[in-house]
Amino acid sequence: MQREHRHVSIDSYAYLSGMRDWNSSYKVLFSAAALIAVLAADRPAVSLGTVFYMLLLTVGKGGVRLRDYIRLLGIPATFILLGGLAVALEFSGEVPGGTLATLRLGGVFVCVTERGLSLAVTLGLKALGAVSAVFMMTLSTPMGELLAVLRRLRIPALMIELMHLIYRYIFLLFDISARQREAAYARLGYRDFKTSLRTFGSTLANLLLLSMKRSELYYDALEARGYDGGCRFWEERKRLTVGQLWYGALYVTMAALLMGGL
Amino acid sequence: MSKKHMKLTAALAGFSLAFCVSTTVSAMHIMEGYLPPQYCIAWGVLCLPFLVTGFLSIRKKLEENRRNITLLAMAGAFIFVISSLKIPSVTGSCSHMTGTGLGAILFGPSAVSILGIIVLIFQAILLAHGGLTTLGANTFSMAIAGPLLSYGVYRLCKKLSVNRWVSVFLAAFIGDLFTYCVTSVQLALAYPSEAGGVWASVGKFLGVFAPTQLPLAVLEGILTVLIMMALEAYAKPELKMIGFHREVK
Repeated sequence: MQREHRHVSIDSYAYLSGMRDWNSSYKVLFSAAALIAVLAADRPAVSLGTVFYMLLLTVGKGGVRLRDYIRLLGIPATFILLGGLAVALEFSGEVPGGTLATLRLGGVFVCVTERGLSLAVTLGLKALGAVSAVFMMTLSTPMGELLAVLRRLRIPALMIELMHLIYRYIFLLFDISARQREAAYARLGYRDFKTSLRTFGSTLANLLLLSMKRSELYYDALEARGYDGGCRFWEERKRLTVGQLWYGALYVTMAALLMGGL
Repeated sequence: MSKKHMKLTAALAGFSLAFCVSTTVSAMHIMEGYLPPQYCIAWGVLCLPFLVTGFLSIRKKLEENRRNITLLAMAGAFIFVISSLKIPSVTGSCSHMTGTGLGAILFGPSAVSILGIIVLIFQAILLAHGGLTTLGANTFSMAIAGPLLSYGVYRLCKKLSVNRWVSVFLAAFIGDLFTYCVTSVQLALAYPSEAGGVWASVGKFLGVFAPTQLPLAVLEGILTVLIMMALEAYAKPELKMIGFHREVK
């Protein structure tokens, strides 16, 4: 994978995925259904089931390397940890019932209650389940196809057009920024903290300057190709097969069984 | 390099990577799945009037001059890119700017609401920061509340003729802090404390995220000032292009 695009590895996987030829509307629907199932059920069993099902599907069928998939699942780790801490801890003047551990700080007790702890764990699992459900879609569907689905959902054309352009420009700017960084490194621009800040600030200012200049050029390029106030992109037709439906049906069955308290 | 040496290097690299991943600090995006469905919907509905206003203002800008489309798209891409670049840091943790203050000062709060929601969708899809279900809540705190206050602070400082750089710093710093407070309130409303209710819970969330968010807000302020300084030195015509001319003396 190209180094300067490492920020957006999810995007690279989407193009390489073994599930790329799946019908994109179906993938979006599947992912949304799984998201709703995880949120509405609000049960650790359903969340865990979703985590494993999506892992097997994305790694097994999509061909994402297991190591990379686990690294991606680690992205929300900080948030889950800190958020979980805030939910699990209680501060109060007296020790409430169902307390598992307390710590006295002056006149205040910091307690971990049973309810708080179980809520924190449930929440963490729910976040992992929801992230997995979204990964199934994002790791197998390139942005162009997702935007095509949005267009079919009657999102205003102007929004879709802006999103298409922004998506393209993100990669152009990443390329510029990677080159800037290299040049600044070569000139000892990141020698110490103070210099780094100064370099970082002026690099970004320069990036804005370059991007504004380029936007002029890009408009000319659009016009040269007959732009008349609306971008139309080619969309591949991807057939929905029975095989794809089976995976969805299997998930729904599993979620229903888990919800029933299996 | 001996085999042992190589192993050691690999282990160190792995460790530092793990450390970096586990301490990635960015704007406080509420994770996917972290809010109950009714809150996801409520925050989304609350965003709608702001988004419609933003959409109409962008459409008007485009009717005036169709060329603005690439300019707006570049502005959106720029906000995405600066929010995903690693800030230089002393401790070695990975932190990212939010870009809300800078965006509000440069492009105005109404355009930033639309650009902001697009950037948040891309962050959720391409980087797994934030989420699609929590898009409403995140849009409200990062693309609406934060930028609006930043812009307000900036205008107010201008009226009171505060030093330019101080006002840029304050706009970015306060905007960042406000975003973090709004997010804490959003989390606390969904998960009130058993003993002390919503406000005790706000305190808990504020406290837990403070060690990462306070230094970030200060850094964001400093960096925004450095960026604006460089822009004014080298890029007056471009600033004029994005409608900043009303501000430049």
